[in-house]
Amino acid sequence: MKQNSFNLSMMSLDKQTSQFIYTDEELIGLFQSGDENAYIELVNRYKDRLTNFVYQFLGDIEQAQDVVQETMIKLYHKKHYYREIAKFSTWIYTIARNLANTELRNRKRKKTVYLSQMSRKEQDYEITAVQPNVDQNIENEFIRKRIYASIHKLDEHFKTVIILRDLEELSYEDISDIVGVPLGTVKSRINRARLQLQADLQDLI
Amino acid sequence: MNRYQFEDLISEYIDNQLPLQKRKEFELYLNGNPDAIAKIQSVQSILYKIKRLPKKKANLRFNEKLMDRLKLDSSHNKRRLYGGKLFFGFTPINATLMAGLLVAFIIIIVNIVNPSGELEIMQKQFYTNETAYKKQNTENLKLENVNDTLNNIVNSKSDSIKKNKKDYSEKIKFVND
Repeated sequence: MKQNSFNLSMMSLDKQTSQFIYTDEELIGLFQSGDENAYIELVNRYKDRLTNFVYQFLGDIEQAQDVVQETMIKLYHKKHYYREIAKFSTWIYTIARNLANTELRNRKRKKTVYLSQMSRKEQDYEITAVQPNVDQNIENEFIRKRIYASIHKLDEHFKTVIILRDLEELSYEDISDIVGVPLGTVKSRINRARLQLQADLQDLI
Repeated sequence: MNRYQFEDLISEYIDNQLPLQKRKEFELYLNGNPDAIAKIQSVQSILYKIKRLPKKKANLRFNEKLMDRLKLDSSHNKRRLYGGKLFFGFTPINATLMAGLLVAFIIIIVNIVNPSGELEIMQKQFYTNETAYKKQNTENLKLENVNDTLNNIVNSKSDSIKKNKKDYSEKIKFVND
């Protein structure tokens, strides 16, 4: 690994807005042939999307960031496993989803309460306290928490498709590839999940 | 279209995934059914709220941390594979390979530089041939000895037979003598 050049280029790409006109598939192709700037561009393109995606599963931002970092490390080491038959986005989402599931399984086994989870609640409280329009913020916060709670109450396969469709805004076809079920099943799961959410959040409307 | 068919197609209708014919059927059902319209609006409202949820973003130091982890990971992998031991700056696998190559190189050089190696081989071949020849010779000599002894026995027997024959030459006299 060319550590020095890699580090420098990463720093510079962090600061400037990206001028790449490549598709994700072209970028991974470049990275496979040794261009590490392409890797950095892929990281910059996906780090926020994946963080949001994984956060919906884990509910803890620190852990979500760790999982996304793991995903990016996997991308770095296993770049040659990617074949251009699939879209890059579905491949990287699949890796992140699998790692998030592993983390959830580990968490269930350990049943631990993380300090970061405790501090998150404190932060939320502090932010609402210093806002000028307190009532509105509290209401928004309440709605937000209700929606998150309803999403988390869904069965695992419903939750995954709802996050991918309505939060990540992926197409039905991409979701089908990521989850590994037929398109018809994806459509039916999305529909059933939305109807469950609608029933659960009736009082918010 | 009945209520169950309608409910199955709500999401596809909202996401504009229905084929034209199905869409027409769906809208026809909606026209005569205010409850169905309310249901659609209710689902759309929930979806609007979900889409407006604040999006979590990666930490500002995400790339920096990632770099650190990549460095750590690669050095950790090396240590895990080789136990962190280096021999003259080589990992154990590379050191073994290098040692093997060095030995092979030395053998080749010795064979090229030292021509007596061939002589030794020829000498060895000569000696092995000579010993074989000697063995053959001794076996031939043994056979000759056996033949000689046999001949001697035969000769001695014929002599004894000759001796045993009585000499009547003086005793026999012919008439004319």
